[in-house]
Amino acid sequence: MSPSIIRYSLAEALRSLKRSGWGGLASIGVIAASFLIIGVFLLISSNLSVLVSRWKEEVQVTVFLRDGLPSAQVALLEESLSKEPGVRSLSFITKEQALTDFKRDLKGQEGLLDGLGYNPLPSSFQLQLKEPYQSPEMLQDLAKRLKTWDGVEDVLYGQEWVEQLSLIIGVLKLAGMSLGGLLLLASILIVSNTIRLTIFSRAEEIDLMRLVGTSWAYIRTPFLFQGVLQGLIGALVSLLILFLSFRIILWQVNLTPAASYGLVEFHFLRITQQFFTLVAGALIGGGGGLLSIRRFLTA
Amino acid sequence: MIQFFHVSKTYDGDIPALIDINLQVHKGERVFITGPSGAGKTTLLRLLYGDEAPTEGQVVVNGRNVARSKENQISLLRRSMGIIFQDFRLLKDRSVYENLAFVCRILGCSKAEERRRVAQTLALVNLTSKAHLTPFRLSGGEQQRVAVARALVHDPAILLADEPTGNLDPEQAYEIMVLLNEIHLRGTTVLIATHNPEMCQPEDCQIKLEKGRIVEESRVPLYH
Repeated sequence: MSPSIIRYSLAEALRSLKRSGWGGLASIGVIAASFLIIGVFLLISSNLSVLVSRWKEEVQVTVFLRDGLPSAQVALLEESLSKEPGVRSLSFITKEQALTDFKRDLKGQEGLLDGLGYNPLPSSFQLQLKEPYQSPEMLQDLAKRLKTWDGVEDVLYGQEWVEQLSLIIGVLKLAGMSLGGLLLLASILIVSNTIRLTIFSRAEEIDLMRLVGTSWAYIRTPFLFQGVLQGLIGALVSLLILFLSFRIILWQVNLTPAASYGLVEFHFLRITQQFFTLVAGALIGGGGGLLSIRRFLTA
Repeated sequence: MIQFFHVSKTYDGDIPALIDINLQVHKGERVFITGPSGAGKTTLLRLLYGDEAPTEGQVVVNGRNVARSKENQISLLRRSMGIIFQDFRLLKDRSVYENLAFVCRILGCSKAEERRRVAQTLALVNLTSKAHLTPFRLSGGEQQRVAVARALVHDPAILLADEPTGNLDPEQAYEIMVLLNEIHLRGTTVLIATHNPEMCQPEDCQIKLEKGRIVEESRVPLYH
């Protein structure tokens, strides 16, 4: 494609876009809405994924001991636990240590515990597990077994909901992709329709161009560019809305205590994801343009 | 330059538009194709610029078989022609200048070249003062002159005119014929389809069509 065709087609595409009025705006709007839906799902799921993978790295099993257990039995339990094949390391947390840790977590609100008058927290063993033993099935199996041991009050591993969250992320991704995909398919048809209307409104001019010897590439390319531009603008608008919404939500979240403890940390779409959104927008718009060109601009 | 070899054209429903046409037009000639409405004049011109394909026979322009030409070759062929349509086919939302510049632009002229060509051609058809007007604000004769100017702006080797005076009063028709004569005198090959044989001069080649057949020629055809 020669530079002159590109220059001419771009100018014509912009002119057509301006002239296409509400139809053109509707196309851009639908594309933006489609990408926005995909973007929202992608943003939520990728943020959750980061959170989940961080939690997964911290897989540990807490074995709570019955109150008043003799130290000999505690030592026996420690020996037995360290012999467990899945256990990488373990540490013993005394009742007092547990209370100190809890008070530290409550930073500034330690007074809440003062009224209790006694230490309700049990002593426990914190087990760090080897990588192969971190699967939900293994964890469940281990917890079930340890619970039957004498002196063990309860076993918590807190990963069930992490796994459930992983499942939810999968469903979110699938739902976002399906819904967004369907809307994008509709976008192709809407872009195609807008371009069809442009072709019809300029039928006289196109016919004349053909008759004075304009090459088909010269006639068709502006319509292809018009589709690409609509797709690109739609994708760009969706990214802008998504980014602004993200910043507003982030601003709200940062006011919560969870954020000040560093428990939550959000990130926007990666630069490659943003780039691919724009490319996908251009492709979808171009696809719509091509659909109309193939149907209505043939020799 | 232009040759028709046993050309027939039948439209849908077996309506014959042209039957066994044999014709040769030499470079620089002026040929009038006359005949009543429906005789096949417009079809004959459309076969020349590849807007229709013959059902039988061959149409050859500048040594190239038009019907067998590919899309881009047809485009190139049309660039060597100027076409004046019966219904003018002007772009109504553009000025006279734009109607001419449009052709220059799509044929790849530079801005300076475009300005030069449009100015020269508008001067030729005496419409320089109306360059900024849209076709709606012009008379029928002026619109026809714009159509002639548009056909000439890229300096074509062949000019095809389909009923160039069909919608004009006698005075306007005369002006257009004078203009076409000037163009012919500059060396352009001119084919004019008209229902009015009075427009022909004795020295002109005249081909009379009736019901799709050549029924009379002012010179002996070279091909049978």
